Order: sequence, then structure tokens, then C-alpha cells
Amino acid sequence: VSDRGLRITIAALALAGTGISAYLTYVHYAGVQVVCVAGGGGCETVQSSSYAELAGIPVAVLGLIGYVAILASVLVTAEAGRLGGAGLALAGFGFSLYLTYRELFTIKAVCQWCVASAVVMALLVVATVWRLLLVGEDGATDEPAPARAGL
Amino acid sequence: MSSRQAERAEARARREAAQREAEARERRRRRLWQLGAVVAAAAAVVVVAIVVSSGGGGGGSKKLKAGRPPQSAQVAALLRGIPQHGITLGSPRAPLTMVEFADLKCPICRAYSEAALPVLIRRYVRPGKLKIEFQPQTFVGSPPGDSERAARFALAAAAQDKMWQFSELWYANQLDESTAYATDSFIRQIASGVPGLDAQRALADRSSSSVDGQLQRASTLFQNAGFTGTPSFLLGGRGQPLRPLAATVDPGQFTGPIGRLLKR
Repeated sequence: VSDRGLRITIAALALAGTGISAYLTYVHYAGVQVVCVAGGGGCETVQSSSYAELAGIPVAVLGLIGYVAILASVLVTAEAGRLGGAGLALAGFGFSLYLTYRELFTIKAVCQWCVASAVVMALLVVATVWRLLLVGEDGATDEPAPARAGL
Repeated sequence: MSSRQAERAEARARREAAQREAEARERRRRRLWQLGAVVAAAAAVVVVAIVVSSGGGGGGSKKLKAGRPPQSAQVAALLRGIPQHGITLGSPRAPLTMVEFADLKCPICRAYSEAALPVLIRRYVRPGKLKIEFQPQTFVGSPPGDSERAARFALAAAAQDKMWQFSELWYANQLDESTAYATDSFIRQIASGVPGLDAQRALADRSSSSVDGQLQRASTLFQNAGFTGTPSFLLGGRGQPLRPLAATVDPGQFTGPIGRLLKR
């Protein structure tokens, strides 16, 4: 997989995550009902719980910032871009795991949007760590036919 | 001559290959170190986030740590800017009224407070469509008097229009219902998380005839409605009789009937 391919994959996943978190941010501030695909009050319950905020900041806003930062990291071909992208994805995934645990065992309700975001973040961990490990300092992979960076 | 040149070229190629391999090994080693550092940094961020999010633990824990009770900021944010008059939360002009009968020591009441109430506040109370009256009950009788001490203080806080902040913070820090934890010390600690509540005054007011009367009224309303457990609810529109609502914890049990009444 070329660096270009990995960056396109990361950008696509980060855009999906941005969409999810932007929607949840809108729901939070507009005070409207969360659309839950399978019905039920799971999304509403989770979004209204104390775990929907971290130090007074909605988790959806933190997610939005994280996804946009990961998206920005693909534009940086230097090492800092690869390190930053992987670090953000790992932190985001770790916190997603914690929130999923809270949903299952504390809130006892599951929000499909949060699960979708956790899945996107897990895929981002794979892609960003792959990019960090396989792409050389010149932006090329370790594969025999190196591909120049350029999204 | 050409054979020597070929040998030299071969040796150079071997040296270069070995050098390339050493460089590749070094790069791989460096990247693994980088990955380790990134994982460690991410883990540190997650641990901090979890500690902040947990806020020292909520209801159901065995005891409350000293200091400002956990969840104070969240409760303040939930209720910020919403009108409060005595036991009533929400605009007096709200078209719908819900009466909540709950015991501050009852675990299911806490579950309602965590799962359903924030939804109701966000969707109906804050926009001025619903007001909620809290009629405290003293159901949890073991050990005797514990529930009543909590309910009396909540009603005394209502005189300062701080009952909802107090009761919600209580639920967020509720302890084991079978223990006698509703002491003055515990009550003071919960009250310390409610900005603007004069705990000393409320402690003095809790034995007043006014609080006696409100407690009696709450019990009479509960019995007249035919309820036998908490939490229980009455719901109705302006000028209509309040009717029992078959709901406990699930937000959907509330939002359905409320939505239907609002459409009328």
C-alpha cells in the first residue's frame, strides 16, 4: 500500500468520523432528538448522560476536533503528520473503548452513533499506525516500488 | 584487469547492500520506538480523560470522598438558566405539568434521574413546554428516618429555589440504600456542591411547620393517586386533571405521552 493510498484511506475515515461527530455536536447544541436507526431511547439516553461531557465540553465536540486534526495530519507529509495522526487515533480509540464500556455497564444504553464512531476510530488506528510503520522518512513506503507523497 | 574491476564492483555492491540493510534496520527500530512513544502518550491522554470523566465516581459507591461532591458541575450545567420556584422546575407558563414522586434514597429514582430526567429537561423543560414538580417521599424506611431527613432538607432547599440542584446532586452521589448515610454531614457535603444554597438556613428550616405541611401533602398526593412505589409520576395539560403515567426509567416511556399531549 502506498503512502498516497493510506492517506486517502485515512482522509475518508476521518471525514466519516467528522460527519458523525458534527451531527452529534449539532444535536447537543440544537437540543433536538438524536435519530437512532433502530429506534429506542439509547442514543438520547447516552447523549444526555453525564458521560456525554468531559470537563464541561461535549464529547461530540472533542471528537469533532480529533477527527479534523487527523484529517489535517494527512496533509502533512513530514514525520510529525504520521506521528500526530497515529497518536490522535490511538487516544481517540482508547477513549471510545472507555465510553463503550460506560454505555454497556453504567448507562446501560447503547448509542449507534457512538458505536459507529468507535469503529471508524479503530480503522483509523490501523491505517495511521500502518502509515507510521511502513512509510519512510521521504514519504515513500518500504515496498520495492516507492510512491511519492501527494494526495 | 576486467576481472579485478568486476570483483571491486561486486564488493562495492555488497558493501552498499549491507549499508542499505543496516539503514533499513535502523529505520525500523526507530519507527518501533516512535510507535511505543505514541502509544504511551495516547495512553496517558486516555487515562487523564477517564479520570476527568469518572469524576471520582457517582452513585452507588460505598462512601463519598471529602470535598465538593462529584458531578456538581454537571448538575449545575443541566439546570443552569431554568426557572425554579419552590418544588417546581420549569416555566410556570409551561403547557404541561408532570409530578414526580421519588425518594432520595431509592436506587430506581436515581436511575430515572440519570437516564430520563436529562432527556426531559433538554427536550421539554428548557424550551418551556413542561414543568416538573418534585414531591419527595420517605419510602426507604431502613434505617428509619434516613429518607425523611433527606426529604426534609430537599423541601427546605425548595424555600431557596435550590431543591432541584440539591436533589439531582444527591442522586448523582447516592449511596447504598440499606445504610444510614443521610447524616447532617453528608447533607452538608451535598449542599456544598449547590452554589447559592444556604445549608445552615436549610438545616434550620427542615423542622419548620412549612416543611411538615409539604411533606404531609406529598404523602397525601401519593396515596390519593393510588401509587405504591417510587418513582411514580402524574402528567397532564393545563386545565386538565393529572393522570398517572406508566413510566419509570426509560426516556421513551415519558417522551411518547408528553409528545402526544403537546400535539393536542
